[in-house]
Amino acid sequence: MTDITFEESTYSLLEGETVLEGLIRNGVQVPNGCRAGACQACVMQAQEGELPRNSQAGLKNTQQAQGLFLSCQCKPSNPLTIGFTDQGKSRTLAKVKDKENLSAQVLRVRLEKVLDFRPGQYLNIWHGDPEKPLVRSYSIASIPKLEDFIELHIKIIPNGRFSRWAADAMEPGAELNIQGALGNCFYVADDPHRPLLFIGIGTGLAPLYGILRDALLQGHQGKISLVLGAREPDGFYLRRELADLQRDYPQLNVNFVCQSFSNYPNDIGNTDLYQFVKEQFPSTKGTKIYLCGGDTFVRKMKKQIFLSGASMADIHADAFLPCS
Amino acid sequence: MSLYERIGGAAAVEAAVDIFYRKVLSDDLISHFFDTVDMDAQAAKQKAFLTMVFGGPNQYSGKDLREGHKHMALTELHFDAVIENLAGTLQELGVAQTDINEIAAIAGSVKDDVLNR
Repeated sequence: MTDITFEESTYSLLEGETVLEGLIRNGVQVPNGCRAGACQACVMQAQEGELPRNSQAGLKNTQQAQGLFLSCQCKPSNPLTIGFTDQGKSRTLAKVKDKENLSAQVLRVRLEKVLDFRPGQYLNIWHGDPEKPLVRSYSIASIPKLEDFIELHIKIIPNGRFSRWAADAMEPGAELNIQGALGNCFYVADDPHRPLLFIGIGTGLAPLYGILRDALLQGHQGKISLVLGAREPDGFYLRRELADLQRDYPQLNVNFVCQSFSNYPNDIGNTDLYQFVKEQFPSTKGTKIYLCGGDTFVRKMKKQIFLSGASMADIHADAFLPCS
Repeated sequence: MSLYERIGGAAAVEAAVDIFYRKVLSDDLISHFFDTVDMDAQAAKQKAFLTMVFGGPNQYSGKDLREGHKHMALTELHFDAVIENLAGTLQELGVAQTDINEIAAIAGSVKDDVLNR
C-alpha cells in the first residue's frame, strides 16, 4: 500500500513487501545478496520519508544519519523517496595473486591487498554481468600486518555459480570487483587475559584463522581454544598450519571434532560438536567467544554458549547464509 | 531519587540483561517464542524493555508493544512467566523488594498491550 518513489517513478508496495522485493517486482535492478540484513549489498538511501528503525540496524550511526538503509529489511509505513547511494562501501578491483586447493572442497584465493580490513571481516565479490551481478560474501583469513594479500577460503559448491567459476576458470591475474571490508567479528585487544574460545565449522575457519592469529600477534595472554567441527575428517583443512601454531603458542589448544565417521586419525575426536563444547567448556562465563560457520550452527551454538554463562556482548558471530 | 537512579541506571540494565535473557531462554513455558529470533536483536529489545520497567528513558509505545506481540497468541500465563523471570533477575542482583514491586507494577501496566486486549 505504501508508495515509494525511485528515480521519479512511483511504485506501490504490496502488503508485507520489502522495498527490495517491490522494486524487483517492478523490474528495477537492485543489487542484493543475502536478503537477511547481513551483507549490506542492497543498501540504498532515503531522500525523503521516515525509515523503519530495523531497516538501519547494523549500519554505522554516520550512515544512519545520512539516511542509508537496507532495502531487503525495509517495510515502510510512510511514503519514501529513495535512490542508490555511492556513500556505502565503494567497490574496487583486486587482482587474483594465486589460488590453491586447501582440500577437495576448499579453494584458497589470494587477492592484492587493495583495501583496509581487520582479520575476520568479510568482503563482497560482485561477479558477472554488471547489470545483474552475483554477489557473494567471503571472510578474510589473512593479517594485514603480516601478509601482503587478502586471503579467502572459498567452499566449492557443486553447482555454485561463483565458486565453480573460481575453481575451474578463474586464473591468477583475473580482476575481481570487491567491496568491503564489512562485519564486526574481529579481535579487539581490550582485555588480553580473558580466555578466548573459537568454534567453527567448514570455511568458518577462514575468519577464525585470521582472528586467532591476530589475537596472538597482538599479544593475547589468556588461554585460547579453537574447536573445529566437520562431518567427515576430510572436511578439515589447514591442519599442518594449525599444528605449527599450537607448537609455537603453548596457550593455544586446537580440537578437531568429527560427527559421523568411524575410522579417525587419532588427533580427531569422535563426538557431537555441541556435546563436545558442553563437556569441555561447561562454563563460558568471562570467556570471549567467536563463532563462524553456517547459519543454523551459529544460532544453535550461540544459544548454547550464552546459556552456559558467556555474556551476549562477548559473543561474536559470523553466520554464513545460503545464497539465493 | 527516582527508581531508575536508585537501582543503578544504565549499568543496572547492562547487569540485568544477560541474567534476564538467560532465564527467559531456560523457561520451558516461553523459551520457544525465542527460537527463531536473532539473539543480538533480541538482547537489544530486552535492554529497551528493562530500561522501561526500571523507570528509565525509553521509546516504548503501547502501539509498538501491541504490534510486536500480536502474532504470538500470548496468554496471561506467558506474561506472568516473564514477570517472574524479571523478579528472579532482580533478586539475584540484590535489588530491594520494594523496588522489585515497583518494577513489577510498571511491567504490569503494559499487560493489555502485550496480550493485545
